[in-house]
Amino acid sequence: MKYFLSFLIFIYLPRPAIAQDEKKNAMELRSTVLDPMSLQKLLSEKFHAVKMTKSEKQRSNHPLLLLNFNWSLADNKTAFTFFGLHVDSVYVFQNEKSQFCTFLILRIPPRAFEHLATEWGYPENTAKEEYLSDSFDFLFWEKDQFQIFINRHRLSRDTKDKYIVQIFNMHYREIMDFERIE
Amino acid sequence: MHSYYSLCCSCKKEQSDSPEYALKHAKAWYLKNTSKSTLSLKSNASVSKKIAQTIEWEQALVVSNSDGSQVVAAPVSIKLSTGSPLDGSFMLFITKSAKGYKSLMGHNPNKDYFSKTTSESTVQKGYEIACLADANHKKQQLRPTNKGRMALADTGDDDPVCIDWYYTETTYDYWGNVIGYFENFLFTTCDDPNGNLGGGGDGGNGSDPSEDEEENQKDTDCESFTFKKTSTANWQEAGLNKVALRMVWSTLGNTPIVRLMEANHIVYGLPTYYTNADGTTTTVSAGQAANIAAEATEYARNLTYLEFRNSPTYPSEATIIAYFKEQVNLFMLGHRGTAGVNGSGSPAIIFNDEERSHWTDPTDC
Repeated sequence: MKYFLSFLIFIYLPRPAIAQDEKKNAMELRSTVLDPMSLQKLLSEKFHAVKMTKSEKQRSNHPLLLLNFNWSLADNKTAFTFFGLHVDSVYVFQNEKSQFCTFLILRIPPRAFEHLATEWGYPENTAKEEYLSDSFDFLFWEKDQFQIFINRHRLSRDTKDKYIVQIFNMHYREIMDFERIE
Repeated sequence: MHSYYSLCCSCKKEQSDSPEYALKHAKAWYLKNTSKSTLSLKSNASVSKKIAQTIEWEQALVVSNSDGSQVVAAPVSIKLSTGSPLDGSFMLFITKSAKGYKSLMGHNPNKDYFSKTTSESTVQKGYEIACLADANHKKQQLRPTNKGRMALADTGDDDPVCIDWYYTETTYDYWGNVIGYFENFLFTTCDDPNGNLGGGGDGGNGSDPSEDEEENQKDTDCESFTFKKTSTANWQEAGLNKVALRMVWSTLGNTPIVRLMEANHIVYGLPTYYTNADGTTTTVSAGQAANIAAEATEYARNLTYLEFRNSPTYPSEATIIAYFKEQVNLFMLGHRGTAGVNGSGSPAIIFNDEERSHWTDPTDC
Protein backbone atom coordinates (compact mmCIF):
# COMPACT_ATOMS: atom_id res chain seq x y z
CA MET A 1 0.00 0.00 0.00
CA LYS A 2 2.82 2.32 0.92
CA TYR A 3 4.47 1.74 -2.44
CA PHE A 4 1.17 2.17 -4.22
CA LEU A 5 0.63 5.56 -2.58
CA SER A 6 4.15 6.61 -3.46
CA PHE A 7 3.47 5.61 -7.03
CA LEU A 8 0.27 7.67 -7.10
CA ILE A 9 2.08 10.70 -5.67
CA PHE A 10 4.80 10.26 -8.30
CA ILE A 11 2.20 10.13 -11.04
CA TYR A 12 0.25 13.18 -9.96
CA LEU A 13 2.98 15.47 -8.65
CA PRO A 14 3.92 18.31 -11.00
CA ARG A 15 7.15 17.75 -12.92
CA PRO A 16 9.47 20.73 -12.56
CA ALA A 17 12.06 18.91 -14.64
CA ILE A 18 10.07 19.11 -17.86
CA ALA A 19 12.11 22.05 -19.17
CA GLN A 20 15.28 20.12 -18.52
CA ASP A 21 13.83 17.09 -20.30
CA GLU A 22 13.01 19.27 -23.29
CA LYS A 23 16.56 20.62 -23.33
CA LYS A 24 17.97 17.12 -22.99
CA ASN A 25 15.91 15.95 -25.96
CA ALA A 26 16.59 19.03 -28.06
CA MET A 27 18.66 18.77 -31.18
CA GLU A 28 21.97 20.64 -30.97
CA LEU A 29 22.66 22.60 -34.16
CA ARG A 30 26.23 23.82 -33.70
CA SER A 31 27.70 21.14 -35.99
CA THR A 32 24.72 20.68 -38.31
CA VAL A 33 24.66 24.27 -39.51
CA LEU A 34 28.29 24.00 -40.61
CA ASP A 35 27.84 20.81 -42.61
CA PRO A 36 25.89 20.94 -45.91
CA MET A 37 25.08 17.21 -45.90
CA SER A 38 23.72 17.31 -42.37
CA LEU A 39 21.75 20.41 -43.24
CA GLN A 40 20.22 18.74 -46.27
CA LYS A 41 19.22 15.76 -44.12
CA LEU A 42 17.74 18.05 -41.49
CA LEU A 43 15.69 19.90 -44.10
CA SER A 44 14.24 16.70 -45.51
CA GLU A 45 13.32 15.40 -42.08
CA LYS A 46 12.17 18.42 -40.13
CA PHE A 47 11.38 21.26 -42.51
CA HIS A 48 8.94 22.08 -45.24
CA ALA A 49 9.22 24.47 -48.14
CA VAL A 50 7.64 27.90 -47.68
CA LYS A 51 7.30 31.00 -49.78
CA MET A 52 6.19 34.34 -48.43
CA THR A 53 6.06 37.50 -50.49
CA LYS A 54 7.64 40.64 -49.12
CA SER A 55 4.21 42.17 -48.70
CA GLU A 56 3.07 39.19 -46.63
CA LYS A 57 6.21 39.45 -44.53
CA GLN A 58 5.67 43.13 -43.92
CA ARG A 59 2.01 42.75 -43.01
CA SER A 60 2.87 40.06 -40.49
CA ASN A 61 5.96 41.79 -39.03
CA HIS A 62 8.04 38.80 -39.99
CA PRO A 63 11.48 38.58 -38.33
CA LEU A 64 13.14 37.93 -41.70
CA LEU A 65 11.59 40.91 -43.41
CA LEU A 66 14.69 41.75 -45.46
CA LEU A 67 16.13 38.26 -45.72
CA ASN A 68 15.29 35.39 -48.05
CA PHE A 69 14.20 32.03 -46.68
CA ASN A 70 12.41 29.08 -48.25
CA TRP A 71 12.35 26.46 -45.47
CA SER A 72 10.66 26.56 -42.08
CA LEU A 73 10.00 23.92 -39.45
CA ALA A 74 7.33 21.43 -40.45
CA ASP A 75 6.12 20.60 -36.97
CA ASN A 76 6.73 21.16 -33.29
CA LYS A 77 8.19 17.80 -32.45
CA THR A 78 11.79 18.91 -32.12
CA ALA A 79 13.31 21.60 -29.95
CA PHE A 80 16.66 23.02 -31.04
CA THR A 81 19.64 24.36 -29.16
CA PHE A 82 22.73 26.21 -30.31
CA PHE A 83 25.69 25.83 -28.00
CA GLY A 84 23.11 24.70 -25.47
CA LEU A 85 21.02 27.87 -25.82
CA HIS A 86 17.36 27.39 -26.65
CA VAL A 87 16.67 28.44 -30.24
CA ASP A 88 13.39 30.31 -30.70
CA SER A 89 13.20 30.13 -34.49
CA VAL A 90 14.98 28.33 -37.29
CA TYR A 91 14.66 29.19 -40.95
CA VAL A 92 16.81 28.13 -43.86
CA PHE A 93 17.43 29.63 -47.26
CA GLN A 94 18.70 27.19 -49.89
CA ASN A 95 19.72 28.51 -53.28
CA GLU A 96 19.76 26.71 -56.62
CA LYS A 97 23.32 25.55 -56.06
CA SER A 98 22.28 23.84 -52.83
CA GLN A 99 24.14 26.34 -50.76
CA PHE A 100 22.61 27.31 -47.45
CA CYS A 101 21.98 30.08 -45.04
CA THR A 102 20.61 29.02 -41.67
CA PHE A 103 18.91 31.67 -39.57
CA LEU A 104 18.71 31.13 -35.84
CA ILE A 105 16.83 33.56 -33.64
CA LEU A 106 17.66 33.18 -30.00
CA ARG A 107 18.49 34.91 -26.76
CA ILE A 108 22.22 35.04 -26.09
CA PRO A 109 23.19 35.98 -22.54
CA PRO A 110 26.40 38.05 -22.19
CA ARG A 111 28.29 35.11 -20.70
CA ALA A 112 27.62 33.05 -23.81
CA PHE A 113 29.64 35.50 -25.92
CA GLU A 114 32.73 34.53 -23.96
CA HIS A 115 31.94 30.91 -24.69
CA LEU A 116 31.53 31.70 -28.40
CA ALA A 117 35.01 33.23 -28.43
CA THR A 118 36.39 30.08 -26.86
CA GLU A 119 34.75 27.92 -29.51
CA TRP A 120 35.18 30.03 -32.61
CA GLY A 121 37.91 32.46 -31.62
CA TYR A 122 37.44 36.22 -31.52
CA PRO A 123 35.38 37.67 -34.38
CA GLU A 124 37.22 39.00 -37.39
CA ASN A 125 35.63 42.42 -37.18
CA THR A 126 36.60 43.21 -33.61
CA ALA A 127 39.70 43.17 -31.51
CA LYS A 128 39.66 41.06 -28.39
CA GLU A 129 39.52 44.13 -26.13
CA GLU A 130 36.59 45.56 -28.05
CA TYR A 131 34.79 42.27 -27.99
CA LEU A 132 35.18 42.03 -24.26
CA SER A 133 34.20 45.66 -23.72
CA ASP A 134 30.99 45.27 -25.69
CA SER A 135 32.05 47.74 -28.38
CA PHE A 136 30.83 46.43 -31.72
CA ASP A 137 27.83 46.60 -34.04
CA PHE A 138 27.82 43.02 -35.29
CA LEU A 139 30.03 39.97 -35.15
CA PHE A 140 31.59 38.11 -38.04
CA TRP A 141 33.45 34.81 -38.22
CA GLU A 142 34.64 32.49 -40.95
CA LYS A 143 34.51 28.77 -40.23
CA ASP A 144 35.69 26.50 -43.03
CA GLN A 145 33.45 27.14 -46.02
CA PHE A 146 30.89 29.04 -43.91
CA GLN A 147 30.65 32.65 -42.87
CA ILE A 148 28.74 33.75 -39.80
CA PHE A 149 27.09 37.02 -38.85
CA ILE A 150 25.48 37.70 -35.52
CA ASN A 151 23.28 40.76 -35.52
CA ARG A 152 20.88 42.16 -33.00
CA HIS A 153 17.32 41.18 -33.78
CA ARG A 154 16.07 44.72 -33.92
CA LEU A 155 12.46 44.31 -34.87
CA SER A 156 10.83 45.29 -31.64
CA ARG A 157 11.28 46.43 -28.11
CA ASP A 158 10.29 43.07 -26.72
CA THR A 159 13.18 41.36 -28.46
CA LYS A 160 15.95 43.58 -27.14
CA ASP A 161 18.05 40.66 -25.99
CA LYS A 162 17.48 38.50 -29.06
CA TYR A 163 19.97 37.93 -31.81
CA ILE A 164 19.80 36.63 -35.32
CA VAL A 165 22.61 34.30 -36.30
CA GLN A 166 23.18 33.87 -40.03
CA ILE A 167 25.41 30.96 -41.05
CA PHE A 168 25.93 30.78 -44.78
CA ASN A 169 28.10 29.33 -47.53
CA MET A 170 26.72 31.40 -50.39
CA HIS A 171 27.26 34.94 -51.57
CA TYR A 172 25.77 37.11 -48.84
CA ARG A 173 23.97 39.27 -51.34
CA GLU A 174 21.82 36.30 -52.40
CA ILE A 175 20.39 36.17 -48.91
CA MET A 176 19.16 39.75 -49.00
CA ASP A 177 15.54 40.19 -50.02
CA PHE A 178 15.75 43.11 -52.42
CA GLU A 179 12.47 42.12 -54.06
CA ARG A 180 10.29 45.14 -54.67
CA ILE A 181 6.76 45.11 -53.35
CA GLU A 182 4.63 45.12 -56.48
CA MET B 1 -15.70 -8.47 -62.28
CA HIS B 2 -16.51 -5.62 -64.60
CA SER B 3 -19.91 -5.00 -63.02
CA TYR B 4 -18.38 -5.15 -59.53
CA TYR B 5 -15.86 -2.50 -60.56
CA SER B 6 -18.62 -0.31 -62.06
CA LEU B 7 -20.69 -0.68 -58.94
CA CYS B 8 -17.81 0.35 -56.70
CA CYS B 9 -16.98 3.33 -58.88
CA SER B 10 -20.60 4.35 -58.84
CA CYS B 11 -20.71 4.06 -55.06
CA LYS B 12 -17.53 6.06 -54.72
CA LYS B 13 -18.77 8.79 -57.05
CA GLU B 14 -22.06 9.02 -55.27
CA GLN B 15 -20.32 9.30 -51.94
CA SER B 16 -17.89 12.01 -53.02
CA ASP B 17 -20.75 14.09 -54.39
CA SER B 18 -22.84 13.86 -51.27
CA PRO B 19 -23.30 16.89 -48.99
CA GLU B 20 -22.10 14.83 -46.02
CA TYR B 21 -18.86 14.00 -47.80
CA ALA B 22 -18.35 17.64 -48.82
CA LEU B 23 -19.01 18.91 -45.31
CA LYS B 24 -16.82 16.30 -43.64
CA HIS B 25 -13.80 17.01 -45.85
CA ALA B 26 -14.24 20.77 -45.91
CA LYS B 27 -14.45 20.82 -42.12
CA ALA B 28 -11.38 18.59 -41.79
CA TRP B 29 -9.42 20.83 -44.16
CA TYR B 30 -10.45 24.02 -42.36
CA LEU B 31 -9.69 22.71 -38.89
CA LYS B 32 -6.29 21.42 -39.98
CA ASN B 33 -5.49 24.59 -41.90
CA THR B 34 -6.32 26.88 -39.00
CA SER B 35 -5.07 24.76 -36.12
CA LYS B 36 -2.02 27.01 -35.68
CA SER B 37 -3.71 30.23 -36.70
CA THR B 38 -4.60 33.33 -34.76
CA LEU B 39 -7.69 35.22 -35.81
CA SER B 40 -7.81 39.00 -35.91
CA LEU B 41 -9.92 41.78 -37.21
CA LYS B 42 -7.60 44.21 -38.95
CA SER B 43 -8.40 47.56 -40.45
CA ASN B 44 -6.78 49.56 -43.20
CA ALA B 45 -6.01 52.11 -40.48
CA SER B 46 -3.53 49.84 -38.69
CA VAL B 47 -5.91 48.80 -35.94
CA SER B 48 -5.83 45.15 -35.01
CA LYS B 49 -8.20 43.36 -32.68
CA LYS B 50 -7.95 39.75 -31.66
CA ILE B 51 -11.15 37.79 -32.15
CA ALA B 52 -12.50 34.37 -31.29
CA GLN B 53 -15.00 32.49 -33.39
CA THR B 54 -17.39 29.64 -32.84
CA ILE B 55 -18.36 27.70 -35.95
CA GLU B 56 -21.71 25.93 -35.84
CA TRP B 57 -20.68 22.93 -37.92
CA GLU B 58 -23.82 20.99 -37.01
CA GLN B 59 -25.88 23.77 -38.62
CA ALA B 60 -23.79 23.84 -41.78
CA LEU B 61 -25.41 23.67 -45.20
CA VAL B 62 -24.03 22.48 -48.51
CA VAL B 63 -25.40 24.49 -51.41
CA SER B 64 -24.64 24.69 -55.10
CA ASN B 65 -22.77 27.65 -56.50
CA SER B 66 -23.82 29.23 -59.82
CA ASP B 67 -21.09 27.22 -61.56
CA GLY B 68 -22.41 23.97 -60.12
CA SER B 69 -19.70 23.52 -57.53
CA GLN B 70 -20.50 22.90 -53.89
CA VAL B 71 -20.26 25.56 -51.20
CA VAL B 72 -20.11 24.49 -47.58
CA ALA B 73 -21.61 27.22 -45.39
CA ALA B 74 -21.54 27.28 -41.60
CA PRO B 75 -22.89 30.04 -39.33
CA VAL B 76 -20.22 31.63 -37.15
CA SER B 77 -20.38 33.81 -34.07
CA ILE B 78 -17.42 36.16 -33.64
CA LYS B 79 -16.42 37.93 -30.45
CA LEU B 80 -13.72 40.47 -29.67
CA SER B 81 -11.16 39.52 -27.06
CA THR B 82 -13.16 41.69 -24.64
CA GLY B 83 -16.04 39.21 -25.03
CA SER B 84 -18.27 41.61 -26.97
CA PRO B 85 -19.93 40.02 -29.99
CA LEU B 86 -19.43 41.71 -33.34
CA ASP B 87 -22.46 43.29 -34.94
CA GLY B 88 -24.41 41.41 -37.58
CA SER B 89 -24.11 37.77 -38.51
CA PHE B 90 -21.28 35.80 -40.06
CA MET B 91 -21.01 32.71 -42.21
CA LEU B 92 -17.95 30.71 -43.14
CA PHE B 93 -17.97 29.58 -46.78
CA ILE B 94 -15.66 26.81 -47.97
CA THR B 95 -15.30 25.92 -51.63
CA LYS B 96 -13.16 23.44 -53.46
CA SER B 97 -11.59 23.83 -56.88
CA ALA B 98 -8.81 22.14 -58.80
CA LYS B 99 -6.37 24.26 -56.75
CA GLY B 100 -7.78 22.95 -53.48
CA TYR B 101 -9.96 24.33 -50.73
CA LYS B 102 -10.55 28.01 -50.10
CA SER B 103 -12.41 29.74 -47.29
CA LEU B 104 -14.19 33.07 -47.12
CA MET B 105 -15.90 34.75 -44.18
CA GLY B 106 -19.17 36.44 -45.08
CA HIS B 107 -20.89 39.18 -43.10
CA ASN B 108 -24.36 40.65 -43.03
CA PRO B 109 -25.36 43.59 -40.83
CA ASN B 110 -28.61 41.80 -39.93
CA LYS B 111 -28.03 39.83 -36.75
CA ASP B 112 -30.28 36.95 -37.87
CA TYR B 113 -29.34 36.86 -41.54
CA PHE B 114 -27.08 33.83 -41.23
CA SER B 115 -28.46 31.24 -38.83
CA LYS B 116 -29.62 27.65 -38.73
CA THR B 117 -32.93 28.70 -40.31
CA THR B 118 -31.29 30.45 -43.26
CA SER B 119 -32.65 29.16 -46.55
CA GLU B 120 -30.48 27.68 -49.25
CA SER B 121 -31.13 30.61 -51.59
CA THR B 122 -30.09 33.09 -48.88
CA VAL B 123 -26.86 31.22 -48.34
CA GLN B 124 -26.18 31.22 -52.09
CA LYS B 125 -26.85 34.95 -52.23
CA GLY B 126 -24.73 35.53 -49.13
CA TYR B 127 -21.81 33.72 -50.72
CA GLU B 128 -22.08 35.74 -53.92
CA ILE B 129 -22.22 39.00 -51.94
CA ALA B 130 -19.19 37.98 -49.85
CA CYS B 131 -17.19 37.16 -52.98
CA LEU B 132 -18.19 40.42 -54.60
CA ALA B 133 -17.46 42.52 -51.50
CA ASP B 134 -14.05 40.94 -51.08
CA ALA B 135 -13.18 41.47 -54.74
CA ASN B 136 -14.45 45.07 -54.72
CA HIS B 137 -12.53 46.02 -51.62
CA LYS B 138 -9.36 44.64 -53.06
CA LYS B 139 -9.84 46.91 -56.03
CA GLN B 140 -10.93 50.14 -54.41
CA GLN B 141 -9.59 50.28 -50.95
CA LEU B 142 -9.17 54.01 -50.93
CA ARG B 143 -12.42 55.70 -51.59
CA PRO B 144 -13.86 59.07 -50.74
CA THR B 145 -15.64 59.55 -47.46
CA ASN B 146 -18.84 61.54 -47.53
CA LYS B 147 -16.74 64.71 -47.53
CA GLY B 148 -14.92 63.69 -50.64
CA ARG B 149 -11.57 62.88 -49.02
CA MET B 150 -9.63 59.71 -49.30
CA ALA B 151 -10.10 57.42 -46.39
CA LEU B 152 -6.44 57.14 -45.49
CA ALA B 153 -5.54 60.74 -46.13
CA ASP B 154 -5.31 63.24 -43.31
CA THR B 155 -8.71 64.47 -42.25
CA GLY B 156 -9.85 67.03 -39.76
CA ASP B 157 -10.56 65.85 -36.24
CA ASP B 158 -14.31 65.87 -36.68
CA ASP B 159 -14.47 64.40 -40.14
CA PRO B 160 -15.87 60.90 -40.44
CA VAL B 161 -13.41 58.32 -41.65
CA CYS B 162 -14.39 55.17 -43.49
CA ILE B 163 -12.44 52.17 -42.31
CA ASP B 164 -12.46 48.76 -43.93
CA TRP B 165 -12.24 45.77 -41.62
CA TYR B 166 -10.71 42.47 -42.65
CA TYR B 167 -11.00 39.01 -41.17
CA THR B 168 -7.45 37.68 -40.95
CA GLU B 169 -5.89 34.33 -40.18
CA THR B 170 -2.21 34.40 -39.26
CA THR B 171 -0.52 31.02 -39.09
CA TYR B 172 2.46 30.50 -36.83
CA ASP B 173 5.07 27.81 -36.53
CA TYR B 174 5.88 26.21 -33.22
CA TRP B 175 8.16 29.07 -32.27
CA GLY B 176 5.58 31.72 -32.94
CA ASN B 177 6.87 32.89 -36.27
CA VAL B 178 4.50 33.76 -39.05
CA ILE B 179 4.43 31.21 -41.85
CA GLY B 180 1.10 32.05 -43.46
CA TYR B 181 -1.34 34.91 -43.77
CA PHE B 182 -4.87 35.21 -45.15
CA GLU B 183 -7.36 38.03 -45.10
CA ASN B 184 -10.76 38.83 -46.57
CA PHE B 185 -12.91 41.91 -46.44
CA LEU B 186 -15.76 41.88 -43.92
CA PHE B 187 -17.37 45.31 -43.53
CA THR B 188 -16.83 49.05 -43.38
CA THR B 189 -17.40 51.48 -40.55
CA CYS B 190 -17.71 55.14 -41.43
CA ASP B 191 -18.75 56.80 -38.24
CA ASP B 192 -15.82 56.63 -35.87
CA PRO B 193 -12.49 58.25 -36.64
CA ASN B 194 -10.86 56.27 -33.84
CA GLY B 195 -11.59 52.99 -35.53
CA ASN B 196 -14.01 51.77 -32.91
CA LEU B 197 -16.36 49.12 -34.11
CA GLY B 198 -20.09 49.74 -34.20
CA GLY B 199 -22.12 49.26 -31.06
CA GLY B 200 -23.99 46.10 -30.30
CA GLY B 201 -27.59 45.66 -29.39
CA ASP B 202 -26.92 46.44 -25.76
CA GLY B 203 -25.89 49.96 -26.49
CA GLY B 204 -22.31 49.61 -27.60
CA ASN B 205 -19.60 47.05 -27.85
CA GLY B 206 -17.04 49.38 -29.40
CA SER B 207 -13.69 48.88 -27.78
CA ASP B 208 -10.90 51.38 -27.53
CA PRO B 209 -8.14 50.37 -29.95
CA SER B 210 -5.58 51.52 -27.42
CA GLU B 211 -6.72 48.70 -25.17
CA ASP B 212 -6.09 46.12 -27.83
CA GLU B 213 -2.87 44.52 -28.76
CA GLU B 214 -1.24 46.92 -31.17
CA GLU B 215 0.67 44.52 -33.36
CA ASN B 216 1.73 47.22 -35.73
CA GLN B 217 3.25 49.56 -33.18
CA LYS B 218 6.56 47.76 -32.87
CA ASP B 219 9.69 49.82 -32.94
CA THR B 220 13.42 49.38 -32.85
CA ASP B 221 15.31 48.78 -29.65
CA CYS B 222 16.68 52.27 -29.11
CA GLU B 223 14.13 54.10 -31.22
CA SER B 224 16.67 55.76 -33.47
CA PHE B 225 14.01 56.48 -36.07
CA THR B 226 11.21 59.00 -35.68
CA PHE B 227 9.06 58.74 -38.77
CA LYS B 228 6.78 61.73 -39.40
CA LYS B 229 4.47 62.52 -42.26
CA THR B 230 6.11 65.25 -44.26
CA SER B 231 5.03 67.63 -46.96
CA THR B 232 4.56 64.99 -49.65
CA ALA B 233 1.25 63.09 -49.66
CA ASN B 234 1.39 59.45 -48.57
CA TRP B 235 4.95 59.85 -47.40
CA GLN B 236 6.74 59.66 -44.08
CA GLU B 237 10.38 60.37 -43.39
CA ALA B 238 13.01 60.01 -40.69
CA GLY B 239 16.57 61.29 -40.61
CA LEU B 240 19.56 59.50 -39.16
CA ASN B 241 23.04 60.70 -38.22
CA LYS B 242 26.17 59.06 -36.87
CA VAL B 243 25.66 55.62 -38.34
CA ALA B 244 28.74 53.74 -37.21
CA LEU B 245 30.73 51.92 -39.87
CA ARG B 246 33.84 50.07 -38.95
CA MET B 247 36.30 48.33 -41.18
CA VAL B 248 39.02 45.96 -40.04
CA TRP B 249 41.74 44.86 -42.42
CA SER B 250 44.13 42.13 -41.45
CA THR B 251 47.79 42.68 -42.26
CA LEU B 252 50.71 40.33 -42.65
CA GLY B 253 52.12 41.52 -39.36
CA ASN B 254 48.88 40.44 -37.77
CA THR B 255 48.17 43.96 -36.55
CA PRO B 256 44.78 44.79 -37.95
CA ILE B 257 44.13 48.16 -39.50
CA VAL B 258 40.93 49.58 -38.10
CA ARG B 259 39.02 52.48 -39.55
CA LEU B 260 35.99 53.98 -37.85
CA MET B 261 33.59 56.03 -39.92
CA GLU B 262 30.26 57.70 -39.48
CA ALA B 263 27.61 58.05 -42.15
CA ASN B 264 25.60 61.20 -41.61
CA HIS B 265 22.45 62.84 -42.88
CA ILE B 266 20.55 59.92 -44.31
CA VAL B 267 16.86 60.55 -44.91
CA TYR B 268 14.72 57.42 -44.98
CA GLY B 269 11.38 57.77 -46.76
CA LEU B 270 8.50 55.30 -46.93
CA PRO B 271 4.87 55.51 -48.01
CA THR B 272 2.23 55.56 -45.29
CA TYR B 273 0.30 53.02 -47.34
CA TYR B 274 0.54 51.24 -50.64
CA THR B 275 -1.72 49.18 -52.84
CA ASN B 276 -0.63 45.61 -53.54
CA ALA B 277 -0.80 43.81 -56.85
CA ASP B 278 -3.98 42.04 -55.71
CA GLY B 279 -5.65 45.36 -54.97
CA THR B 280 -5.38 45.20 -51.19
CA THR B 281 -3.88 48.08 -49.27
CA THR B 282 -1.09 47.79 -46.75
CA THR B 283 -0.55 50.59 -44.28
CA VAL B 284 2.94 51.29 -42.99
CA SER B 285 2.81 52.69 -39.46
CA ALA B 286 5.60 54.83 -38.06
CA GLY B 287 6.72 51.85 -35.98
CA GLN B 288 6.82 49.53 -38.99
CA ALA B 289 8.70 52.16 -40.96
CA ALA B 290 11.25 52.33 -38.13
CA ASN B 291 11.63 48.55 -38.26
CA ILE B 292 12.24 48.57 -41.99
CA ALA B 293 14.72 51.43 -41.74
CA ALA B 294 16.57 49.80 -38.84
CA GLU B 295 16.87 46.47 -40.62
CA ALA B 296 17.94 48.14 -43.85
CA THR B 297 20.70 49.90 -41.89
CA GLU B 298 21.72 46.70 -40.13
CA TYR B 299 22.05 44.53 -43.22
CA ALA B 300 23.53 47.31 -45.35
CA ARG B 301 26.28 47.49 -42.73
CA ASN B 302 26.91 43.75 -43.07
CA LEU B 303 27.04 44.05 -46.85
CA THR B 304 29.45 46.96 -46.63
CA TYR B 305 31.76 45.07 -44.32
CA LEU B 306 31.86 42.05 -46.64
CA GLU B 307 32.38 44.22 -49.69
CA PHE B 308 35.52 45.92 -48.40
CA ARG B 309 37.05 43.60 -45.82
CA ASN B 310 39.22 41.83 -48.38
CA SER B 311 39.88 44.83 -50.53
CA PRO B 312 43.54 44.73 -51.66
CA THR B 313 43.70 48.51 -51.41
CA TYR B 314 42.30 50.47 -48.54
CA PRO B 315 39.34 52.28 -50.05
CA SER B 316 38.57 55.83 -49.05
CA GLU B 317 36.06 56.67 -46.39
CA ALA B 318 33.87 58.36 -48.99
CA THR B 319 33.81 55.19 -51.10
CA ILE B 320 32.76 53.02 -48.18
CA ILE B 321 30.07 55.41 -46.97
CA ALA B 322 28.69 55.84 -50.48
CA TYR B 323 28.48 52.06 -50.88
CA PHE B 324 26.70 51.75 -47.54
CA LYS B 325 24.12 54.39 -48.47
CA GLU B 326 23.56 52.69 -51.80
CA GLN B 327 22.72 49.40 -50.04
CA VAL B 328 20.35 51.12 -47.63
CA ASN B 329 18.59 52.70 -50.57
CA LEU B 330 18.23 49.31 -52.30
CA PHE B 331 16.47 47.88 -49.27
CA MET B 332 14.22 50.91 -49.00
CA LEU B 333 13.33 50.72 -52.70
CA GLY B 334 12.07 47.21 -52.05
CA HIS B 335 9.47 48.74 -49.74
CA ARG B 336 8.60 51.50 -52.18
CA GLY B 337 10.75 53.86 -50.17
CA THR B 338 14.01 55.71 -50.61
CA ALA B 339 17.12 56.60 -48.66
CA GLY B 340 19.07 59.65 -49.67
CA VAL B 341 20.66 62.86 -48.54
CA ASN B 342 17.73 65.26 -48.52
CA GLY B 343 14.50 63.32 -48.97
CA SER B 344 11.63 65.75 -49.45
CA GLY B 345 13.69 68.46 -47.80
CA SER B 346 10.86 69.06 -45.36
CA PRO B 347 11.79 70.90 -42.14
CA ALA B 348 9.52 68.41 -40.36
CA ILE B 349 12.08 65.62 -40.77
CA ILE B 350 13.43 64.62 -37.37
CA PHE B 351 17.09 63.62 -37.27
CA ASN B 352 18.34 61.30 -34.54
CA ASP B 353 21.78 59.89 -33.94
CA GLU B 354 21.89 56.15 -34.36
CA GLU B 355 21.65 54.65 -30.92
CA ARG B 356 22.29 51.06 -30.14
CA SER B 357 21.70 49.23 -26.93
CA HIS B 358 24.67 47.42 -25.48
CA TRP B 359 25.02 43.74 -26.09
CA THR B 360 25.72 43.06 -22.48
CA ASP B 361 22.92 45.32 -21.31
CA PRO B 362 20.10 45.45 -23.82
CA THR B 363 18.13 47.91 -21.70
CA ASP B 364 20.89 50.52 -21.90
CA CYS B 365 20.74 52.78 -24.91
